[in-house]
Amino acid sequence: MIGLWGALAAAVVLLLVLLAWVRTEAWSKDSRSDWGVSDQEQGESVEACSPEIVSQLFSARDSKFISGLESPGLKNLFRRERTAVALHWVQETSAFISKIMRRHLEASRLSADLEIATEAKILLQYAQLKLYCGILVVLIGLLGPQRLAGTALYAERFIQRIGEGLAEFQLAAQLRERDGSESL
Amino acid sequence: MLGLIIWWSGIVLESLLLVRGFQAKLWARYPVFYAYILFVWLQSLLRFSIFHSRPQLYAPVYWITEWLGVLIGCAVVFEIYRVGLAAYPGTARLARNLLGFVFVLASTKALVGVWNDPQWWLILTTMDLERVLRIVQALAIAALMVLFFFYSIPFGRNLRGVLLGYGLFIAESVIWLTLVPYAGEKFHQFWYHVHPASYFAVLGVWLIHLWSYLPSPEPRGAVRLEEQYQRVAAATAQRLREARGYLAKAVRS
Repeated sequence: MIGLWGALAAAVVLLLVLLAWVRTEAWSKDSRSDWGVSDQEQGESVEACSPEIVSQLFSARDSKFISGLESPGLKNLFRRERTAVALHWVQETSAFISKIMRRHLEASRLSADLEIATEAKILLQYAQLKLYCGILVVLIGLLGPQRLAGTALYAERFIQRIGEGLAEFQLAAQLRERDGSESL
Repeated sequence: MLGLIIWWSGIVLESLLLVRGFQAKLWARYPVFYAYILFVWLQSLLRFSIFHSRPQLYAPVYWITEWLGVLIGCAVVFEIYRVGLAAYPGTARLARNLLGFVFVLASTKALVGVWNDPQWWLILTTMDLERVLRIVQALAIAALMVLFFFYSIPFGRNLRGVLLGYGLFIAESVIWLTLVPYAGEKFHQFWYHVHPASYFAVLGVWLIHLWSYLPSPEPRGAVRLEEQYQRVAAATAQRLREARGYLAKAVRS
């Protein structure tokens, strides 16, 4: 049977997800974009932000400055706007990751010597990043962006690393393909 | 006296919800949800009359109606999934798998319980069974919501209300059903006030969100698909006209 703590954990998880959903729905109403569609709408222009912008977006410095002005209205507006921008960043980042993955799949499906271990590793990293984005959305909804600077920067660095890795992988695959066709 | 006021207020709010549902024709869009509210309304009236006319029958009537409510509640979760993901067949497929996984996991756990202790089923109380089903519902709703998050599924106000209210109700029910056997008299007294208050909050959420019909936002992907199709169709027509022109020239020459 499901024990006392298991049952309470299920209830708390449901309450937290509900709370995060309500807050995210309210804040991202205006800035919402369908992840899959935004990529298409903007063509291939989705690019990852620089770490400086991410650091600025999630930094507590601006929040402290606004708090110093002692205007509750301004503070609320700032918090709402910053949360909407942070959520938009996560959505765009998620779209960027999907684009990298799609490119990888397009490149790798042509490759004759696919390595299952490498593919599984890439898929796992992709899933990990997507999960990270999902968790970030929930945490931004619950805590606000100011407390997540470290987490966001970690995600950003991770994405850059994977992006570079995949680009190298694609280049290697293309070179292999070209060498193969030349040797025929 | 306070208990009586709480009881009647709940019935009045449920009636109002039903009346608005019929006036705004929302019942046709969320038939299972309104069937559930109608059932709860009838259940409240039945329990009230039994409590005052034949108190000795109250306990069996309470548990039978409670059980029926839990079963209809499962159908409400399914309706949230059906309406919310109607325009998203890919996500709906994923949700089906996810819900299937949650139900398989719960069934496996129950089967393992029976296997390890065949007497388990006999000593299980009605309250235990309700708790298990409510927990499965809570996990199913949480899993659905994580999926809605992940794919940024837009919600209309009506469906948002149904999901939010029902989610709150389930979470409160799980906490209540879990703590009742362990807690003492003080907790019972405390929860005696919290339980109706939270139910009023749920009815309030439903009333605010379901006062009138507001359509759910359509996925922009479908619109774009239509635009793209029209663009392709126009380009094809242009090319056909050009081809006909070349063909006419070739025939004439």
